[in-house]
Amino acid sequence: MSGFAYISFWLNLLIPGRCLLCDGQLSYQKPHQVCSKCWAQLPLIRYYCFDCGRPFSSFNNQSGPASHNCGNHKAEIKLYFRRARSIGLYQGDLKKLIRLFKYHKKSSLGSQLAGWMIQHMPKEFNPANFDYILPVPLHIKRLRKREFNQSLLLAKSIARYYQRPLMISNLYRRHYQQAQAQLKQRQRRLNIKGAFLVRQPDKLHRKSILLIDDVYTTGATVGECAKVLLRAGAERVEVLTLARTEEPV
Amino acid sequence: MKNIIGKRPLVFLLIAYLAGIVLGQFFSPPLFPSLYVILALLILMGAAGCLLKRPYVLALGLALALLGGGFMNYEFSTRYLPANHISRNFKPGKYLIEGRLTSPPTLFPAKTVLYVDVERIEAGGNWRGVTGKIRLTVYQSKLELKYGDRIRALAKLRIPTNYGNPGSFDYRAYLARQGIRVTGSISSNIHIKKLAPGKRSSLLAGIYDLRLRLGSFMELCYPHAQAGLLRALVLGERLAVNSAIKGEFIVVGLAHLLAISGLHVGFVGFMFFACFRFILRCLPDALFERLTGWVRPGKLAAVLTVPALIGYTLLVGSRTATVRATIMILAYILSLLVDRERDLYNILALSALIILIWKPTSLTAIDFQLSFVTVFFIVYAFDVFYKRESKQPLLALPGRLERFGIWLGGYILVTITASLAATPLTIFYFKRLSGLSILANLLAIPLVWVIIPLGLCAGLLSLVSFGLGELLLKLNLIFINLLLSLVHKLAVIPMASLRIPPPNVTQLIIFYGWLLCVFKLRRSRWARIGAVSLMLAGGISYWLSLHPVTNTDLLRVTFLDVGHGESSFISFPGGKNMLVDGGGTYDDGFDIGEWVVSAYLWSQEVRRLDWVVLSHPHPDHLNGLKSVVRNFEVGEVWEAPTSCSSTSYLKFKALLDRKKIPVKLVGAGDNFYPANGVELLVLNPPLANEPDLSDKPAKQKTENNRSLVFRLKYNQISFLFTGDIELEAERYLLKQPVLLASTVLKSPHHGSATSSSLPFLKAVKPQLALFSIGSSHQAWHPSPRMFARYDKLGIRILRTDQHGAVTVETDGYYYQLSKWENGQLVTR
Repeated sequence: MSGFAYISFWLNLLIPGRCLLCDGQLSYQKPHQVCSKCWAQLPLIRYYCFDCGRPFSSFNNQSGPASHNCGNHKAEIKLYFRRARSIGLYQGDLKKLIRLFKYHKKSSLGSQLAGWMIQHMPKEFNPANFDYILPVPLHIKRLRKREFNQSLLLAKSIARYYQRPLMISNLYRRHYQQAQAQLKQRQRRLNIKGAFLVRQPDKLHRKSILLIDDVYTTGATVGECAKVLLRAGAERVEVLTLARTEEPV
Repeated sequence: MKNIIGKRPLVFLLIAYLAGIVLGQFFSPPLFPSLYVILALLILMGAAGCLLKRPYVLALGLALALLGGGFMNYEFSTRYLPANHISRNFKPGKYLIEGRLTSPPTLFPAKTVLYVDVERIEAGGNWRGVTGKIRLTVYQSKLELKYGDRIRALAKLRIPTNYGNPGSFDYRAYLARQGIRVTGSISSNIHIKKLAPGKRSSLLAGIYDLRLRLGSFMELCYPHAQAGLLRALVLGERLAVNSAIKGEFIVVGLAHLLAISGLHVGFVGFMFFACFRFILRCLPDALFERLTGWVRPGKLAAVLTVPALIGYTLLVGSRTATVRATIMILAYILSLLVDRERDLYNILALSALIILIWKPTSLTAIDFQLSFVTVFFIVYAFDVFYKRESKQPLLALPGRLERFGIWLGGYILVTITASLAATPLTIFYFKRLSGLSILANLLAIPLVWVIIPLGLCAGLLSLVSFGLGELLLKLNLIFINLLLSLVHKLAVIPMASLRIPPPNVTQLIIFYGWLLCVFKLRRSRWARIGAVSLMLAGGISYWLSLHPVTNTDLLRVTFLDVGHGESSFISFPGGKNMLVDGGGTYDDGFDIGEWVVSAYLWSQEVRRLDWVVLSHPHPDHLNGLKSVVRNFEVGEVWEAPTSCSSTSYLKFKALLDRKKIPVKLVGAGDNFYPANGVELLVLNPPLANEPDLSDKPAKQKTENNRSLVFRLKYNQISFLFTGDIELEAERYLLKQPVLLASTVLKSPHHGSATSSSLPFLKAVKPQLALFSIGSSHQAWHPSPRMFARYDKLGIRILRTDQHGAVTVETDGYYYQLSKWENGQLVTR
């Protein structure tokens, strides 16, 4: 047993871990909270639009070019960012896990979820190609309440893995608003409008930015961020999220 | 291993370890080396399991290793003492000793208790190096000593003794659990000399100093009674509470608040946590944002709580309950750090395991049992009632009102469960049931929630700014007075404290089994069946113990060991009984009536005393009767006419008046038949001519000579009870035309030289003489000259100080003798 496994063995003796999802026993060698079986069963997005990252669940029965450009997003709304990628589908166990992470203060899930993102990172999408990695900020008031920014925790692990600098507290929220999660599509867009500001635009000048968030629903939040960043002088903004809802109608 | 040790590995290991300790209690093999071999084999097995990666072998090996470890640890801590241990290097007597104080002196009104690590002892002119801890009582209240001081003292050392009766508190084992096997007394502080300071822990010194400063700060700001209460609640100085307040707390079932327990540590831990979290949340925006990227502020606050909590535990003294709570909170914090769902059973097992490895004998200690049983049931109750909510992640977060509801429900559940779980053990050990304990706890604990953090904060603040601290403490006074008046109001309710006969061990086990079932009534059919059947079993068992089926043809006389003093219990054929005298100390400092006589009667499952006889109103016969009369239903009190007017006697009379117990004056010539075939004839004092009692020394003697003397006869066997009569009364008795000859003589006046004259002994011609005397350090009795007179006549001598409680059991023709020696009944 290595030193780490040794510590984790004793830790497990004191606080035997139970999988957060299936309540099954966890391996005595890892300090995880989810068993490897449940990790493997989290819903992944395999086929998606190359631009907006929209998942195509209908193509899961293998035929033809799996991922392609869906072509209809441009007409609908302006997205500002160049590309977006999400790793999992916001449903089932992944949804449960994200809620535990965000609302039940299981902050150590952050690095584990980020690890899962890295493991399933699309081949054509390399976070190492960006100048900065930037998490979507929380309003300071909400941050004080929740005690952590879930996007920041994800971004931190990803930035460390790809050895890119993390940019925090440059982008910030102006208003303390209603949480997006409780709103409908149109309201989201109105709610988020003008919500973000940049503190030091010169740091963004001609830089490529990777925005990181936990859930992509309509793209309103990341879209607004991207808009603000581009206006501040960023050259290119792309989006990576942990999960994405399927086809908001 | 996954499957065997499974969900709660430490519970599994704890059970193995407990089994080892219990095994150690039941037998103690003479050979230590063989045990080493067994233990080594067990550990090897465990190691082999590790190497072979065979989970079953590993689990079995671990369990066996812990079983052996528990056994060894228990044996070592109870039986093994190094050759230079103080208890193996002295005979009772006066010695010069040198040693170091292991804790600050404990102050009592008229004495001070020191715990000293002995370094050297002087015997026969030369010093010898010894080890071990002793407890020294200094009969002086002002001592300029503190923790870590080295002293040289002239002390009278002895091995602590127990009162040798069934049911008496095992004082010797109690001290041994603290590592004390020798006690000593120092008559005055001129016999103590301070030496050059020795090694001491500066952390502990600092903490004791802090306790002293906080305590004097509280005394400065508050009236004495309130300060005492606050010091007990916050600093764990439970001796600071005045006895009236303490009595009220005991009566309403809140005594646990006065001794620092897990509850207090929990409050303080939470207070520190909340403080740190608040401070972190007040950080400026940018800093806070940076911090959240590094660690969750809640976790950081939890980590910061750790040293504060350990400091507090050291401050209040590491008792079982506080150590248990601290370990549990630390494990809880650890689980918080790794975001694990904590299993409280496992955490509880961890703290039990640590405490029992540290002190294996604490398994038999009251505080350990109370603490762990209570917390186990709290955890169990939560497991049953809150399981569904905690296992399934809540998708909708509860609102503020709902959260308050959950919190309130939890609070009520904890209070009721803790009271239910603690009650049988409290009755078992303290023979007292508080009918209001649930109500009192529900009302008092929220107050304590405020008082403790506020008191501690004020104390810590006073170190920085006295004025601010004083202000906060003055605010706290409101809550303290509220608590005091609440307890005072509840204490006068008649059902607050009930004296009930304690359950036996079987009944305790039945009750806890029943409690386990009751919580699951709605979940499982087996629990319903179990609850009903256990309730029936417990009820029947308790009813049977209240109505014992005894051999009704026997007369049984037990002479109790009450130290210096006298008390005898007579159980007549047919079930009636009589208590003659109740022992007692001169200053009422230790309540023999409660802890020795009542405890004996309870252990014999006595509920009612048909007759209580007071031979004469001296404290060593009278003082213990006060608690007995308070604790039991009494049919009638007999005494000789007396003009005694001591406060103690007047208090006794007032008590009899209040309980409306009839008093019968008896004297020579009175004749009673308390049971079929049993005759009780009173021989002394003569009812006529009551003497003048104005002169002090003569008064003492006269009162002794006016002791009630009676002869108890059951067919051919007879007993002579003589109280404290001396020569004068013996001469009087010899002149009377009565039969003195008896099988058993209760020797007069604790074997003093002025009693048991040769003509008297010749007239009584006893086969057995029974001496009720304390160990030699307590009094000047008995006299060797007097023993010589018994030896001359070939009378067998039995002494309560050597043989413990002595029981003579007779069917009227033969008699059988049993003694209570070293906690065991020896029949011969």
